[in-house]
Parts: sequence; C-alpha cells; structure tokens
Amino acid sequence: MKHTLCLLFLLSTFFLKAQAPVGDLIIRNGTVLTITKGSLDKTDILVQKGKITGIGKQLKAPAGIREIDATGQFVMPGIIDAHSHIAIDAVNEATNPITPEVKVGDAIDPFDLSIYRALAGGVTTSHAMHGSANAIGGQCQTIKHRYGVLDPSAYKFEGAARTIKFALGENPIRVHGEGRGVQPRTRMGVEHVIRDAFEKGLAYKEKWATYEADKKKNPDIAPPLYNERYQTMADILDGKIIIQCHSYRADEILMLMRVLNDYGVRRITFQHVNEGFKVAPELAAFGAMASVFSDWWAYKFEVYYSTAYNAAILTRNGVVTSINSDSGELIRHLFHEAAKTQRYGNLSDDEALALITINPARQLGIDTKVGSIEIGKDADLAIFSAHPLSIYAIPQLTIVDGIVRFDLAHDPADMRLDIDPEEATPTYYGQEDVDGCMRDTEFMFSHRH
Amino acid sequence: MSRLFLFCVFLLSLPIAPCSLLLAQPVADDLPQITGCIALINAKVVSAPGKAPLVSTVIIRDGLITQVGVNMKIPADAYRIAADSFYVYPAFIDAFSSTGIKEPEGEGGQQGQGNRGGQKQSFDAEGNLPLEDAGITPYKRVRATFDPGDKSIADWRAQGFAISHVVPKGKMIPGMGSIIVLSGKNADQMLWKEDVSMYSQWTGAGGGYPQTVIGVMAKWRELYHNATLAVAHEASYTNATLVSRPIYNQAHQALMPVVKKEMSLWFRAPKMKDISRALTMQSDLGMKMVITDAEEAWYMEDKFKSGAVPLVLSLDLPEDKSEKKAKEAEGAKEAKGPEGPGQDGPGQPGPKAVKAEGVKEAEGADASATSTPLSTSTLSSRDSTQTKAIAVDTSKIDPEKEAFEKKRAESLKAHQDQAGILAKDGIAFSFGTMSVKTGDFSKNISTMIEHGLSAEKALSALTTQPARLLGIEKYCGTVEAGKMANIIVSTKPMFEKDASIKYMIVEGNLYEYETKEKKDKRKGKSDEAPAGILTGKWSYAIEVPDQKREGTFEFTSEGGELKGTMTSEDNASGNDQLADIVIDGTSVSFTFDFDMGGQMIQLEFDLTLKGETFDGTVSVGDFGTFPITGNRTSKPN
Amino acid sequence: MKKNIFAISCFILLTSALGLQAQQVEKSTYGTFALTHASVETVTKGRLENATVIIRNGIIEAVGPDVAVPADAQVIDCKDLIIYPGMIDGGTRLGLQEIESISVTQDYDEIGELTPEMDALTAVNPNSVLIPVTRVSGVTSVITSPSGGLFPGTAALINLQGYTPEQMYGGFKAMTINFPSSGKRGRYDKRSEEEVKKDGDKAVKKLNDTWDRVRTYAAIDSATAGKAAYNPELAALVPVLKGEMTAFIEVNKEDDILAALRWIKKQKIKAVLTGVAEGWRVADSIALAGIPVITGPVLAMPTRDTDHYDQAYKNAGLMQKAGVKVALRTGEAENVRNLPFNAGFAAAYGMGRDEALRAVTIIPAEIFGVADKVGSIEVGKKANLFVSTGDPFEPATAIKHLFIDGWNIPLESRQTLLYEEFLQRTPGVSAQPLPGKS
Repeated sequence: MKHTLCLLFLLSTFFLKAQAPVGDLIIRNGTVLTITKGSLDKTDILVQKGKITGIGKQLKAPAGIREIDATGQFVMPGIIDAHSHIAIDAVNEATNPITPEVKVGDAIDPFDLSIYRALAGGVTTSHAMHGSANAIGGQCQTIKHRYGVLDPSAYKFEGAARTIKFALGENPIRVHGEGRGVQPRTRMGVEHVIRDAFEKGLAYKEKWATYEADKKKNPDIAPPLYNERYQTMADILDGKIIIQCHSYRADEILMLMRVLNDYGVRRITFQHVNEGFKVAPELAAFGAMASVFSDWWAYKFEVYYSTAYNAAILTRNGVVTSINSDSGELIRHLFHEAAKTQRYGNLSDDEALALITINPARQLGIDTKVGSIEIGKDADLAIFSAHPLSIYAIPQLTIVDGIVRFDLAHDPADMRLDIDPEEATPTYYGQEDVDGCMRDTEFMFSHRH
Repeated sequence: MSRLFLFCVFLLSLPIAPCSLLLAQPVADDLPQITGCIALINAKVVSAPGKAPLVSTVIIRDGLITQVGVNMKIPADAYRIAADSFYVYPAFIDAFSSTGIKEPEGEGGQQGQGNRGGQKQSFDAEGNLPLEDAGITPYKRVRATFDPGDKSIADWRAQGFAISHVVPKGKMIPGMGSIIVLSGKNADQMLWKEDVSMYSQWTGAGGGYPQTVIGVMAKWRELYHNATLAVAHEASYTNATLVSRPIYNQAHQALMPVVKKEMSLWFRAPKMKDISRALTMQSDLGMKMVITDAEEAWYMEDKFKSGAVPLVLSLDLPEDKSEKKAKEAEGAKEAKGPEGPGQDGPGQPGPKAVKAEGVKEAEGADASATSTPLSTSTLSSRDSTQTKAIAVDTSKIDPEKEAFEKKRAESLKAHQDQAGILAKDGIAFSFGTMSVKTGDFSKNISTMIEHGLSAEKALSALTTQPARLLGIEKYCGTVEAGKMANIIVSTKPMFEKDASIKYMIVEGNLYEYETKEKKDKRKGKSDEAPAGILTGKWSYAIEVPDQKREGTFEFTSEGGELKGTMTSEDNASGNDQLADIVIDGTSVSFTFDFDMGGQMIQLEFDLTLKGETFDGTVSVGDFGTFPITGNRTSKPN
Repeated sequence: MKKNIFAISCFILLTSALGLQAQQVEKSTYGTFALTHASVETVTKGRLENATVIIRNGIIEAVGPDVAVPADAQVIDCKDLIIYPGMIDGGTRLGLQEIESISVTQDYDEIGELTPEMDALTAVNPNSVLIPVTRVSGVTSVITSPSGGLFPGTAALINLQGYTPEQMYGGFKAMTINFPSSGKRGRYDKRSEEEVKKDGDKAVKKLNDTWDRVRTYAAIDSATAGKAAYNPELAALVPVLKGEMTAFIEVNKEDDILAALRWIKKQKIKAVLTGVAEGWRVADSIALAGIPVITGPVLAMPTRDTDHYDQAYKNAGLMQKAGVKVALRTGEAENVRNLPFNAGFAAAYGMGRDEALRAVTIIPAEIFGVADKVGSIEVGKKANLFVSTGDPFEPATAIKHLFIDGWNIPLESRQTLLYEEFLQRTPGVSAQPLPGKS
C-alpha cells in the first residue's frame, strides 16, 4: 500500500518541469551549524516555498506547517559533493582525447538508487562529472538530489555554473596513448592536446566572428560549419565554463595553470589533485580551487606520493578546498570524510564542514544558493543525531528545497523506482567494483586498473 | 498419367468448401494466380475500427476493393469465397518494423567492442570515424538492404499485416524508412513509398565516436545545426548571387528534409529514459518527431496528450519470470515427465498438462494482485533490521521476497496496462512490431486486451492510426470501396480467443491459412500407446464428390517403431511409405507424400479407430479435405 | 618554452627529493617504559583511571593505579590520555601490495585456481611505505592475505614493526579458501544468471574434488609415513584437513554462507568465515554453527538494491547480537588506517562502542589463538598498544604514542613527513609570473 501511494505521489510530480517541487516546514530547537555564521544552540529554521525564511529562537510558524523536532540534534547545510558520477547513464565518451561537446546532463538517470543513498548521508547536491578518460572530457552537471522526481531535467541545479571535465596524467594516457594508439601517450602529449584544442577553439571563434561581421555586409554569405566541440572550447575561452580538472601530480597541475594563463582562462577547480599540497602557493596565487579525497592514495603510481594532510595544507595556504567522494559508497559518508581532516591536520569544526558545504558550492558556482544556512538560501538541510564530524553521528533527515527526501524513521529497504518486471529475485552484487572515473572505458581494458 | 493425378486435376475444378479445409500453406505462394478478382460473399464485415460487423459482400479487383455491399452481382470471373461464417477486417498496418531487412554486412560487432587487437579503424584528423562506421547514415535507404524473399514478410503477413513501415538496421541514424506492401515478387512491387521517415536511436558506434548516449546527443545537436545552416545556404544559393556553391556533407544533406520539417524523425525509444531524452532533444532542436517502439510511455503520458509528438507503442511485453511462474513451468515439466507404461490411466500428453497449469497460473495472478499490504508494511519499516536468520531454511513466507514480488508484479502490470490506459486517456497511438517476435504478437495483443485495451482501440492502433501517421489513410486502413484490397478474413471476431486468420488478402493477393491447430506429432512413439490397435492390414475408401477411391494400409511395429505402407490403384509414383505415424489414444494420424508430375503432394490422414473400423478425414495438398472410412482386413502376424 | 617547463619540473622534483632525503630518520626505541597517569582501556579487565603501564623488553610488566615506576624506566606522562591495546585488522593485503594499479607491486594473487602452497609471509615487504602510514593510526597487527582463485594460499598475522618477515610474524597462519559464489562478483559482472550458476556449480565441484584428493593424499601420506609423491598443493591442505590449521573461508552471499556452514560441518575442519557481507540474513545459523566471523569492510555498499542503504554498516552488529563471534577487517592495503573508522561505524550502527572495540582487539586475538599475547592490556602480554587523546574511533582523536612488540615507534610516516615539509613550503610561491608559452 505504501509503495502504491509512494508511486502515485511520484507520478503526480512528474514533469512539473519549470519549477522543481518545493516545500514548507519548520525545524525546531536544533543545534544549527550555519558554516558561515557560526553555530547556534536551540535554534529554529523556518522554510517556506523551499527557501530558508527564518533562523532564530522560538520562531512563529504559519499554521499547519510541518514541524520537525530537532532537539538534541544537529542541523547543517545539505552536503555538496563536488565530484561524483552518480545519477548519470554515461560517464566517459572515451573515443576521442577531446570531447568537450558531450554533456552528462543529457544522460541523467533519475532511477539511480545512489541518489537516495547519497541523501541518506545528508548529501543534497552533487556534481555529476564526465569521467577522466579524455584530456578534455565532457561537460558536467550539478544536480539536486530530488529523488522520487522522475523527470531527468528536474534534477538539474537551476542556475549552477557550467562546468567541464579536463583530465591529466595516467587516465587519458592509458585510454588514448596506450589503449587507442593516439596522442597523448605522455604528460607532454596531454599538454599538447589541450593547447591544440584551445588553438582550434580560438580559430573557430575567429571564423565565426568573421562570418558574423561579413554577414552584415552580405546576408547571403555562406556560413562556416558549426562545430559543437570547438564552440565549447570558445565558451571556455570566454570564461563561460569552469574547468574541473582531474589531476594528481604537481608538475601537471603547474602545466595546466601555465596553459590557462596563456589563454587567459582563470576559472578552474583541480579535482583529486593529490599533489596539490606541493604547489599550494601556486594554486592560491592563480586563484585555482581544489577538490580532494580525504585519504585515497597508492591506488596508482601518480598518487603514491600523497598525503591525507592535503586538504589541511591547501586550506592553510588559502586554497578554497573541498572533499569529494568520486564514489557511490563514499558519498554516503562525506561528513566522516571531512572529519578526517581533524585527524590529518587539525582543522576546526567550521573549516572541516566548509570542505563539504560552502567550499564545494563556490567551486560549482552555487554558493549564493546553497552551502550554508542563511536566510534566502535554498532549504537544503541535513539533520544528524550527533555532531556530523563525530563517528557516532547518524543522518536523521535530509531536506531538499524544503521537502524531506530522506527520513531515517521512514526508510524502506527497497527504494528502487525502476523495477525490472523480469527480475525474479533480488540480485546479489559482490563488492568488486570499477573506478567510477573510468566508467564506460571498460571496452578497452579487461581489468579495472 | 496416373489416375490419381487425374483425380487431383478433377479436384481443382471443385469449389472449395471452406469449413472443412485443412490447408498447410498460403495458396498464392506456389500456385499461379487464376484471376485478379475475388468475391468475399456474405461475410461479416467490420469496415473500420468501432464499426459493427455488417453482412456484406466484398468484391476485389486488381488489388483494390471495388465494391462493398449486399445483394450485388458477383462478377463471373470472380474467385468466390463463401464467407458467411467469417469476419472481414481491414488488414493491419505495422507502424514500425524491420520486416524484410537483412542484417547490414560486416557488422557482427556488438556495441561496446573496441578496436583493441582488431584492425585499425580509420580516423580523420579530428579523430572521427567515417560516417558509415560512426553509424551516421541518414542517407541510407530501405531498398539497399531489403530482401523480398525474407521470411519475416510471410511471417508478419500470416499475423494479419499487409503494410509495414520499415526502417534500415544500424546505429545512431540508420537511415530512412519506407512503406512496403507485404506481397509481391520483387522490391519494386513491394516498396510502395520510399524515404518517408528518418530513423534514429540512442545507439553508439561501438569503439568509436559517438559511443555513448551523451556522444549521440552531442552529435545530433551538431548534425542538426549544420543541416540547418545547409538549408539556409541552399536557399541563399538559389535566391541570391555571389554565393559560393554549397558543398554538402552527405549526412547534412540527408537531414535537410528533417530540418525543413518535411520529414519526421522517428526516434526509437523503448524505455522511459530513452523517451524522455528524445523528447528533450525534440524540444531543444524543434524537429517533427515520432516516438516509436515505446515500452514505457505511460511515465510521461502528458507529453503525448496534445498529439504533437505521435506515439508508436512496442508490441513487446516483458516476460513473467517470477519464481511462481518458474515453479509452475517446472511442475508442468514434471507432469510431462515420465510416462512409463506402469502408469494408470491414459498418459497425459504434454500440451494438456501445460494447459491445466495455465489455468492455475491465472488464479495465482489474481491472488497476488489482491494480496494484503501487510507484508509490505512490515518490510518498509526499519524492523527489518532484525536478523532474518533461518528465513531461508524454512518454507515460511519471507516478507522481503513478498514485497519484492509485489513490486515486480506491479511493474509487470504497468507494462501490460500501458496500451489500455493510454487509450482510455485519449492518447492516440499506433503499434509497431520492431521488437516483438511474430510468435508473441497475438499473445501480447490478447494480454493488452485482458488488461483493459478495447478491441476497437487495438484494431485502430493497427489500422487507421498508423495509416494516418504514415499519411496513407486515403489508401489503407479500412474496408471500403476504393481502398487497397488489404483484408483479414478471420474465423471469429478479431482478437477473440481462438480466432484465427483464414485468409489474408494483400493488395488483392489471396493467402490461405490452416486454421486447425496441428497435433503435437511425436514420431514413432508407438511403444507408449498400444500399437496393437493399429498394426495389421486395413482397407480404406476416400469419398470425393461423385466417386470413391479405395486401397489398403498395412501397419507394422518393428522394434517399437511404427511403420506403414499404402497401396492403391492410383499410386504410380513409386513411394508407398507412410510417414509421421502417431497414435494418440484412438486417434491416428500419418502422412503420405507422392510426386505428382514434379510437384510433391502430401496427403494428411486423421483417423479415429473404432475397434475394427475407422473413420476420419484426409486432406490432399491444397485441394481439399475429404471423408475416409475403412475396416481391418487382417491382424498382424 | 619547453626548456622552461623542463627546468621548473626538474627543480620541483629535485627539491622534493632532496627534501625527503634531508629528513633525519627517527628510530624506534626499546627497553623499559613507564606510561603514567593514564586512563587504561584494558578491554578485558575494564577501564582503569590514573594508572601506570610498565613495559619491559617487549612485554607489559605491570598495569594498575598503584604501580611503582622502575628506576630504569623512560617515563611517558599520559595525563589526560588513554591507553588502548593495538588494533588488529582481520583481513588486509598490507605488505603484499604497494601500488594497486601496478601489477609488479602486487604480490597477493598467484596464477592458478589451486595455489594453497603460496605463503603470504614470504612476500610481505617489511619496508612498505604503507606500513608506517597504517600503524600511526593505532593499528598494530593485521592479517595479510593472498586472494584470487579457489585456494589462494596462506594468510599470516603480522605485527606492523620489524625489518624481516620473521620479526613481523604474529604467530598465526590460516589457509584461505574462496568458497564458490552463486552470485555476481559485482555490479559490472556481465555474466548471465545461468553463467553465474554454472560457474558456481563448477567451482563447488572443484572444491569437493580437491578435498577428496586431499583426503586420499593424507591417507596415503600417513600410510607411507610421509612418502607420498611430491604434491605441494595437496600437502599444503593436509593440516587443514586434519584440523591443525584454521581455514579462512571467504563467503558473502546468504545461501553461499549456509552452504559453507554445511560444508564446514561435513568436513569437520576448523574454520572462520570471512567477508560474510550477508551474514545478517543468516546470523542465527552462523551462531548456531559456532563459527567465528571476520567481516568487513563496514563502510561498504549493501549487497542488494533492495537493502537498506546502511545494511553493511549494521551487518557486524546484527551478527554480534545474534551471538556470532565477530571480528572486523578493512580488506584494504593502503587504507588499513581506516580500521578504527570502520569499527566506529559498526559501533554507531548497532554494535556499540565496547563491542566494536573488542571486535578489533581481543576477539580477533581469540580467533587467531593469540589472545595470550595480544588483544588487551594485561600483564604478560606483548606491548602492542597506543596512547591517544580520546576515543580512537573518533576522527578528531590524535594518537600520541605507539608501541609494537615493545618498541616505541615514532609517529611518523611519509604522509606526516610530507605534511611537515609542505605545510609552509620554502621557497613559497615565486614572485615572477608563471613562465608562459611565448
């Protein structure tokens, strides 16, 4: 019965495209971790039409509004994952070293159970990224975790910055140089391939500018061919897209900053960036940001000389840093991943929580909407049983746009939305996994590495 | 010339008595056409979906329906079919299929296979594959891969289809679709309207760009944009001076009719996400689109309400693979299993056992549909965090499994309900056979009807709707004077249980079908039935109009295998061996082949033994079925 | 411009390399230590406050509030600090794998389905960079285990200290068996249901056939007084057959677990189940069979789409509550340091803090038969312990001192050294703009 009702509800919300569903509620008496404005004891948060409209003690609430008692609990902004591959059906268009024209936003999978599991870890927004097979991969999509809504386009985070995946080092080298026998086969080649794309983007831009100018004189003049690939490069050159660059080694990080410097591109977040700590001063000087793992290392050679203190060193050097998951498993406990920076580098509570809230929001160009608890921001909130940086904290309730999308007290085991009518019994999956970043490149390798 | 041959020639001149006919295969395939005129006399004619059956006579001449009415004069040259026990319907129009299309050559490779270790693919300077390898072939035509002799044409015709909208096989943009008539000797006769549609799907090139759905989407945007520029350039070149000559990319050129909205893009989108993505593309780029081969369109019903994007539903349905089903199948197998001589009573032949299970299964389905929500609520609470020890060890009902099964059944039902719900909500749709096996077609239609689709809507989705969609409603889709003579002659009202197609008329060509279910012939399983009731010599007499043909059979049982011979004064062809001898209780069937002047004719005998006598029927090739009687002349030695 | 890039790259490489070499290597020390004014989490004997622990020549000599500090002892004041027994990870590849993607640094998976004669201890690299990274988190011992195939080889308990395998060996080995699985290996296992079943059945047959041969071999071997023909595979399995060696049976899926329990009962061997991801489904059966379990990682995905998102978090606790003896493992190599966090999640999701602590200390010690040496802070046991600022499961807790086998180990690893070097890098950012293309 519950399922049926649930399904009916879902169907009724399908394709309410223009405005994503929003809700009203009030959270009473919680410890509010605002991130930007300190922690507030025994404080209420009023939410109307999906926005935070009040923060304070014993707020007056409209009659009939849903009240959530958070006494003894901790309320923080919905967690933001700056690097994931959930909720998309295609990750890598690994057939060309340069594919800036593809958009993972075209392949949103509203049925991906990972969305719900991320919500169950307090994560309300994630950055669904193209993989790292190509030196310039596809455009990424920032999504809100409105699990239950079936319209794929309703997952897109309205007003989020356009972002695009770049990738340096082993992955593009393995896929193209070793796998397909085309450049890049080395880190020199990676630089060349990227410069080449920028050059072609410039030439393309110029060709069209010339055409548009000539067209004023002769409206019948023949147009040049349209090329979505180089049009996208032109958009990067015009500063319309934030680069999100998969990178590990210090040398390649410096290389890309030099290249971007040459083309006047400033907006970049380095992803993974395991050796970012080695060039933290340069990153800070460039204005580049960093989105890192809490402690992943040694899974391949380019991450052998890593340290779990990376986030702390970058933060201390003034680099806007986030901690990401890159994993459907890890995304469920990003609050714990952030907490590790207290062991590895002694970050304060606010600094640690900023790594999974306001900082990733800055990196994705959504910091005016989410990432902290402030009046006027989206009501994306996560409620925990204990301080979220404690190992004993258990997510209780996750709210997106004022709608409760995860509630531990009403958490059915089976949250699948897409039911295979031919699946006779629940399928068991072992723990063998593939690297999320390299999904859709399996056709080239027999093994995950 | 043998006397049997003469006898057969004689039979030819007899009017065929429809009710008793038992013919193996369509007439027109192996015999010359006698006349271009057919009269379906006093049939119950359903001229269009929703019309009540009216007793009328239909006159067909030269591929067209020339008259539909009562009390009309039957033309002297007409091939007369006394159709008073039959129902006549407009033949089906397949909105989307690959009927008659051969697999493209050299494309054994599956999607996702790279070029690792294989031969090197040729890339251009931008790293792109040639259009052909990339699966971008909008210029391809059906004709290139159409095989007029392909078995699928006869197969679908036998299911009631006369017209089909056929598309080439391929990847992202396989090419343009054509409308074919499912009758004719060569492509020229069968390809009616060519290049009526553009066909696309979310299928990557495999090993090259575009490989994934995001690649295909990006490529579509670019192709469409460039085709748009090409259209503008073409216009400038035509209308203005000082314009350089357009040099077209083959793909851009082929897509120009789509950009100009002169041609619809038929997007194959089975699953909900496929449909949603195609619709997004449509609204972004603005082409005319048909969503086709849809299996999960109910998810976004609203999108189809306006009819701006027409919908073609897949005739495929998911299989019920639940454990219960599997167990039933197993049970049926066991029931079929050992039929040793030690068993009491008549051995249950396989098909019967299956049938009995079929009944149970229907009851089972009802039971699960009304099962209490108790199990679900148990599961959906956090209580299931308790250990479920030994749940598997006992045969007790497992709430987890129950809930899973319930969701699965709901999903199955949603697929089965789709056509009925869309029809009720006033959404016009057609059916296409692209993804369904011929063998599942009528079963699936029945399932949809059981799940709320009216027979009228089913018929319109197979006739008038696709006719409109394909712009051929002037010519097809109803039984009216002036329309193409595409007609189904059915033994019962269409889609009713046990209804079967007796004749198909496709553009005036008559095809006739056997309507009685063939017995499950199991060769020489004489050891399981008392062969003794048959072995020995028998005399027989076949009654053909105005005369009797007589002869003898002799049956022997050797090493458990039944053998038989036939001797007759008529037989001069040399063969005297009977084949396929099957005893089922007191029913006996066998066949006899002989060569009639270079043409093989098969006699099919169906006898019922009554002690020392028998009676039954014998069907003679395409000529007719006749009574036969006989009696035993000697016991076996 | 190329020159510039090259120059700067070289410069960076050189400086970092020099930086590492220039570090003064801190060495472990041995002897007599007095850890005073400490809270002591003994695990087996409750918590002591303001107590002293005396370590002498590798052994815990005294524990208690009224212990006198020997004159020769190096005193470490542990005021406001807590002493815990070193944590034990019940399943890792530590020492057998340096870099996951580089096959020449992977020494855990030998060619062949039947390689029980492979011995993990042989290939443990005592100088793996991963070891110091692990131990500074308070993990002092791990099982390091081969994997792959039906009989991957022999796993060993090692202490994370020492320069030779002999120095590291923790006194316990076990034969690993991958019990045939009737399920998919993972989400990307493209085999059809039929293929999965066929492969499973084949593996079961192989397991039983092998076992029959081992039995025959053992019979011949004892009848001929050890003169059976050379057959290292079968010979390696004889101690398991005879119940002299523990078998680690890796099994995860519900019905596979039950099948494994039946198999163990039938073969009458000494066994431990490892993995056991779906143990919660059949916890009572496991408890009834009395077979201990090493489960983990706790931070893992549910095995089925129809399971609660946190089912893997809860698995250990559910089994433990049903009466199963549960130890934890990470299954990791480079991140065995996350063992306390895995334990913390198990604790939070039903196991409780005390039981989770036992599951990484005394329980694995008992399962391995070394509870007389490690797993708790008791007199006479090996000095495997660490001193922390608080609950070691809490990320914010810092580890202040570490003893393994009585050695006072510096809390240093390559990761801490990089931190020290780069927190405030000198030279910092260059004043000049980045050299450009032109």
